[in-house]
Amino acid sequence: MRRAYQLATIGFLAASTLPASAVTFGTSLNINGTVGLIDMPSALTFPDGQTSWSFTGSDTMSGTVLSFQLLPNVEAVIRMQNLQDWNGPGDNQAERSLDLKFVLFEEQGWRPALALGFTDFGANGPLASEYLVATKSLGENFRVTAGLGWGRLGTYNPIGAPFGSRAPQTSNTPGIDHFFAGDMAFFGGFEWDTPVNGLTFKAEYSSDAYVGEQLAGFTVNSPFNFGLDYQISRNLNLGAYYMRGNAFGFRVTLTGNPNTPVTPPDFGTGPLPVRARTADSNMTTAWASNAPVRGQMANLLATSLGEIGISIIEARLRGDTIDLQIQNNRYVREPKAIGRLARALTVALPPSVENFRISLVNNGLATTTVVLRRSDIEAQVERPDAGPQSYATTQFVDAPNRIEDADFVREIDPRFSWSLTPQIDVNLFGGDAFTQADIILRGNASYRINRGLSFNLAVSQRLIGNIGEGAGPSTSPLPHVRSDAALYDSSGPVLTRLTADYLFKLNPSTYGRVSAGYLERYFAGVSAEVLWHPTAQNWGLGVELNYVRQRAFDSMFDLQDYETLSGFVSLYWDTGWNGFEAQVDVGRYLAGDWGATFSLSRRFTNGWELSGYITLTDVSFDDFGAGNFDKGIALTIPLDWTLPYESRSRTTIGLGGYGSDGGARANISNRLYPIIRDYNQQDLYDSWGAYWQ
Amino acid sequence: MMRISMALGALVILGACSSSGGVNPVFRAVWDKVRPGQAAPETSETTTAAAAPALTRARIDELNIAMIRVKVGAAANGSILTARTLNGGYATYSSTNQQTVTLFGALVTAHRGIGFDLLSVAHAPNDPLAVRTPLDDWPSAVRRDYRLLGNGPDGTVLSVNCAFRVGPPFPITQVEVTYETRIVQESCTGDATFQNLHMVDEDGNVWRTAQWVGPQMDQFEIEVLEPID
Repeated sequence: MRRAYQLATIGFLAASTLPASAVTFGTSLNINGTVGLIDMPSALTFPDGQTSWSFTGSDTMSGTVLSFQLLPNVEAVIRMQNLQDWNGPGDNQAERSLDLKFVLFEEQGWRPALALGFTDFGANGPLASEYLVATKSLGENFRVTAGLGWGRLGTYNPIGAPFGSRAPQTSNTPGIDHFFAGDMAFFGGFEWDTPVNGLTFKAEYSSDAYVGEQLAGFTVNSPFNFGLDYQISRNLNLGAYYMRGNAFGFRVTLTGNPNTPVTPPDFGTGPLPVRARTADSNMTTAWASNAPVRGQMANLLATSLGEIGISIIEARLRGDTIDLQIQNNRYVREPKAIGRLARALTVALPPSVENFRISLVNNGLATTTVVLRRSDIEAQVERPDAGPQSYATTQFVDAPNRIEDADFVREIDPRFSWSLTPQIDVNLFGGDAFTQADIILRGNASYRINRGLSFNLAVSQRLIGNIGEGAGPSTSPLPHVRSDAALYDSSGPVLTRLTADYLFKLNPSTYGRVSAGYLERYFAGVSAEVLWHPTAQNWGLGVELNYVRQRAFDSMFDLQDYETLSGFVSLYWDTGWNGFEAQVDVGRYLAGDWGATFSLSRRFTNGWELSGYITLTDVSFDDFGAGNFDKGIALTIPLDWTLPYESRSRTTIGLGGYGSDGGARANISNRLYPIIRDYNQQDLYDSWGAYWQ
Repeated sequence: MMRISMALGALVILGACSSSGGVNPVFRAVWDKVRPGQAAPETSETTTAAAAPALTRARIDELNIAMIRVKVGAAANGSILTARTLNGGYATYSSTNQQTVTLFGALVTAHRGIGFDLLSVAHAPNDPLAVRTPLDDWPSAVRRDYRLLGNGPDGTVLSVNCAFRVGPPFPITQVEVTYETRIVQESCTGDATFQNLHMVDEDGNVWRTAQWVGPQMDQFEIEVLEPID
C-alpha cells in the first residue's frame, strides 16, 4: 500500500509544473579571505554572520585569514600574512591587516551589485588598497566582476591617478590620506558554476603588479589568474589557483554561520503541553493556608523541575501567586527555560495560582523577575501570534536578591563544583605573522559557602602553543606589568586564580562584588565593583577599583614589589540593533597609564559572539611597542552549535596583543556585567522567540 | 599538525565537562565505545526516535485516544503520537520522548524537539486543511504565515500563498480501515516554495498528508489513525 501511495504521489507530482526558483550558485572567498575571485575581490558577500577561517599560501606569501560577515552588507577580514623574502632572502615581512568591504547595493534586475572596499584599512602598508567593484549574474551559472583599484590594486597597467599622488608606504602608521590616491587600474573576471556539483571555475585579470614582491625577486609573467573552487561540505571549501603565469596558490577554508548550526539545534525532548484550566476548575485557595502543604508542593516542584534542567533556589506559594527563584542549567536561551517552567507550572499547580513570578538567578545573584499570568499562557499557547503576544503580556522587573517568607530555600548544593574550559589564544603582534598561538585547558573549581560567598580556584595548562617563546628581556619603559610574561614559570600547571569572592545586591537594580586573593596570573590583591543596571534599561553604569601587587616569576604564591591602584568607570549599552553591544571603560590601567577601552560586540541569540576592542591611553605609540596600542578580537562559539544536545558551554578564541604593558587591565574572572547581561529585558526580548520552545 | 588535531579533539570532548552538566554525551559515547564488553548504542531510523509499535484497529479502538503516525522525510518507519492537549482547536500530539506535533484540523501548526522547531502557523479562515470543508468547496488558494525562531518575539515569518489542485481518486488503507480519498496537490510560493500532498475524502476529512514544516526540515508525512472527536 505504501509503495502504491508513493508511486501515485510521484506520478501526480511529475504531472505538475514546479515554478523554477532563481537560485544562483554560492559565493566563495579569494586567496585573501575576501568574497571574490582569485586575488581580486567581488561585490558579493556571505550570508549575515558567516565566519570563516582560511589557511592560504602561494610562492609570495602564506598566512591565516579570519573573515566575518559583520552585517548583511559589511564584510570584515583580518589577515595575518608572511610576505616571503620581502626584506631580503629569508627575511619575511609579517603583515596584519583589517580589510573592510561595504556593499552599496545588491544585484537587482539589470543592476549589478556594487561594493566599496578597503584592504589594510586605516594604514598605508604593503597590503593597502581601495577598490570599487561591481558583480552581475548572467543566468544561473555564470557571474562577471569588474572593478577599479587603487594602492596595491592600482599597480598593473594603471590608467591614471584622478585623485592625486599616493604617499609612500608606511606600515603600522594609522591614516586615511592615502585613500583612493595614486594610480588607478582596472581588474575583472568571471566565475562559472561547472556541471560538477560544488566545483566553480574562476578566471581574472589582476590589477596587482606585485611591485614589492618583484623587488624581492619574484616575477609576474601574466596578469591572468585561473582557479578552481570546490565546496566539499557546508563547512569546508578549497581553492586552487594558477597565478601570474608561473605560480600556484591554495586556500583551505573552514566556515560556519551562527544561524545555520551544524546539527539541528532543537532535537531532543519537547516541552510539556500546557494544561488549560476548565471553567469548573476548583479555584479554592484553602490549601495555601497550610504551610506544610506549601512546603511539600515546593519540594515536589524542585525535584521535578531538576529533571528538565531548572533548579529552584527559593520558592513561595500563596493562594493566587507563586514566587520562584530559578537557575537555568541547560538551555542556551533564557526564555526557553522560562517557557518550559511556565508550562510545567500550568500542569503542577492548583488552579487558583494565577500569577507566576519567576526570578532568574546566576552566580547567586537574582537578576530579573519575569511576571506571567497563567490565563495569558492558556489563551496564547499554540496561537499564531503567541510569540509577540506573550512578550506583550509579560512584565519584567528588577528582582530582590531573596524571597521573603519563602516556603522553600535550596540548600547550597552542590557546594563544590568544577569545570574544564578550553581556550585558544592567538597573538597578533608576536613578531611572526600567524605562528604564535596557544591552546589552553583551564580547570575551574569553586566551593560555595552561601549564596554570595565562594572560594574559587583556576589552574591553566598550555596543551600546545608558543606565545611568548623566544621573547627577550623586556625593554618597555613602562612598569613591566605584562611584558615580563616570558619570565614567569609556565613549565607546568599555572595558578591563574585563587580568590574569595562575595557577590551581593545593594538594591534590586544594583549589584556588588568584592574579590580578594590571587586575581590573575600576574597580580594579586583586592578588587571591588558596583554595577547599576535596572533590567528595563538598555544601559548600565559600573565602577571598579583594584589594589594589586605583582606576583613572583617562579613561585606560585610570592609577590614582587610593584603595586598599584587601578580603577575604571564603565558604561554598558545594549543597542538593541542586530545584537550589538557597546562598552566604554575609562580609568587607570595596571602600568599607571590613563585612558579608555572601547569594546563592541555582536551577540547572536544562540550564543555566538564576535567582539573587538581597542585601548587608547596616554602611553605613546613608540613606548607601547608592536601594534602601537592594545587591541584584539574574540570569537565565542557555543558548543551546542556543533553537537546534537543542548549545552551552555562555549569555546572562545581570542586574538590580540599579548605582552604589552600599556592599556593592560587586570583579568578579573567574575566581573558583574557578564554575569547579568543575559538576563536584562533587552536580552530576553532578543531571544524571546524561544519562550514557546 | 597531528598534535594540534588531537588537542582540538580533546578540547571538543572536554569542552562541556563540568560538575553541573556531568560528562557530556560525546565523551560518554566515546567512553562507552572503548569500554570492553559495552555494546555500541543502536540507532533509530526515525528522527522521532520511538520505534513504531505493531498496531491493530482493535488496539486503537481499545485505547480510545486520538492518534497519528508521523514519518519524517525518507525515514522507513513512522512514530505513533497520541493527543495530549486540545487548546482552542489546536491539538498537540506527543511521542513517548515528548517530541510534539500540533495540528489545527489537518494543518501542522507547530512541532517541537524534532530538529528545527516550527513555532506557529497563521492560516486563513477558509483554509480547508485547518477547517474541514467538503472537497467540492475547497478554495483555489489560501495564504499562510509560518513563524520560526528568529530575533525577538516575532521571530522569522515566512508567508506563502498556496493553491490546491484536486487529483484522481485514490483509496488508502490505514490500520485496517479503507478511506475513499482523492489526492490533492498544494503548491505554495512566496517566502518559501514547496508542495504538499493530501489524501482527502469527499467530506473534506484529510486522512493522510505530507506537509512542509520548515525550511530546514524534511517533510512530515502524517496518517490520521484515530481523529479527534
